[in-house]
Amino acid sequence: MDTAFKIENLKVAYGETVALKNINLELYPKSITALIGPSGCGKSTFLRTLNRMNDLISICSISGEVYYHENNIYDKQCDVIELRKQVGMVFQKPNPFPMSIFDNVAYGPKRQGVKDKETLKQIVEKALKQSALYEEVSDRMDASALSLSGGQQQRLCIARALAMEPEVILMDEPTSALDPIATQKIETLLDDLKKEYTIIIVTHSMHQAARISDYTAFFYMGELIETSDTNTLFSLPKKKQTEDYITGRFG
Amino acid sequence: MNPLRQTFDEGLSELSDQLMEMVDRVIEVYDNMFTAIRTMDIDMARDIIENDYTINALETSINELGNLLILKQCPVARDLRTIITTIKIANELERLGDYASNNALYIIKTVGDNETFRSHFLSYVAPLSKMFYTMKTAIEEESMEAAGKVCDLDDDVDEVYQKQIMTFINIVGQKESVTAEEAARAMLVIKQFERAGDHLTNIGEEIIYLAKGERLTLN
Repeated sequence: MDTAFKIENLKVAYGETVALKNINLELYPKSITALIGPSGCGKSTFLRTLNRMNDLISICSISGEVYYHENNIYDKQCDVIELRKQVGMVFQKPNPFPMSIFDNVAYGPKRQGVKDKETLKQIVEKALKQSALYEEVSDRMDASALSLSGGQQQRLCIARALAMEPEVILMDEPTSALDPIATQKIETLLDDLKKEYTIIIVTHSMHQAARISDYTAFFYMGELIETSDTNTLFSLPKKKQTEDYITGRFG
Repeated sequence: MNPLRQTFDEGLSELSDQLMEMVDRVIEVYDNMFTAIRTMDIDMARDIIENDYTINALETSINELGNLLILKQCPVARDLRTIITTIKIANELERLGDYASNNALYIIKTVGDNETFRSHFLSYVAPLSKMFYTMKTAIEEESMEAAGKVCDLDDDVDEVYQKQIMTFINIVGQKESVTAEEAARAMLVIKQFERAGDHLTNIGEEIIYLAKGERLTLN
């Protein structure tokens, strides 16, 4: 099977504190992989290693290999800007820029040098349509992004990521700050987006992982305990730790 | 343990208790049914019919509690299989109760019939009893081995059934005192025993599913 990412012997530490121990994992393209585990288990740290967001943390040290397609993204030759363009990220709390809806989505392409207004308009429109937000904002593109509801802001952030035409979207608990209706819209959107994008999502909701993901990886205390297709992991987990976690016996 | 998990475990334990109560009740009903056949005890047969509602009520209760646990606890993995299999086993036990009632009704309606057939019914006591008690062990211990044995034992019931069909046909041809109507009624009785074996096998399959997470067809 093709892989989007191949992770080999990955170790991450913050100063003296080991966050990830010897992780080996393959992530598959055009699918949703859910990362689950209790707080502090290393799943968000793992997510951030996939587009080198941990580089921004000075005390963070990383060893091992993270292959994005054929290339180890921790090689010195790796173009981190290009990597982050291909591997976008959406955070837990919607974080629109304090500017218009249009400018939020156009921000990335503009920074990449797209100046033509018609091209920008097309990019913004496409991204907003992909994120299922266009119909709700098409008549107020100049309004402040901060005037949108939480769910709309999160879809705007997804549109902002999509505008960069990434291949992979990393999501760190993207619905934890949203109500059930907004959550449902995001989940429906993700199900649609996986036809074209590789999505890796950190979630604390076991049922969200079961509902939307194709593959699930369970982390505990910095270790990858078990990974498999989601149906198997939630019906017949191999490891007792996994069963205990997903059935609420600990964590 | 976290308090919500404890509440869930208490629910599962309640579900298990109700299932075992149902198992005991059905085993008791079959013991009584065979006694009633042996002794032609009409009152005992009537009791079996009149008390069938207690088995039905247990099935309803198990269904409701199972549904509630699914609704409130959103179970996964073995927890989910436990609830699903308990509901399905309760359904099988309810059917077994119905068969016992049907046969009890036969006892009442055929008091004046020729006794030739009745003695044959007792051939099912040994194989069915063995299946019932092995089934109880399989449920209590969630034992795949015992569950597999339940399924194997069904062959014995089937063997008795196949032989008796031919015997009954021959009896009608050989004995003038036996009517075709009596033979037909007796055939219905042994068919219920044969079906009881199938339902017990289904229970065995459910236990195997609970333990392994795989569906096997052993019937």
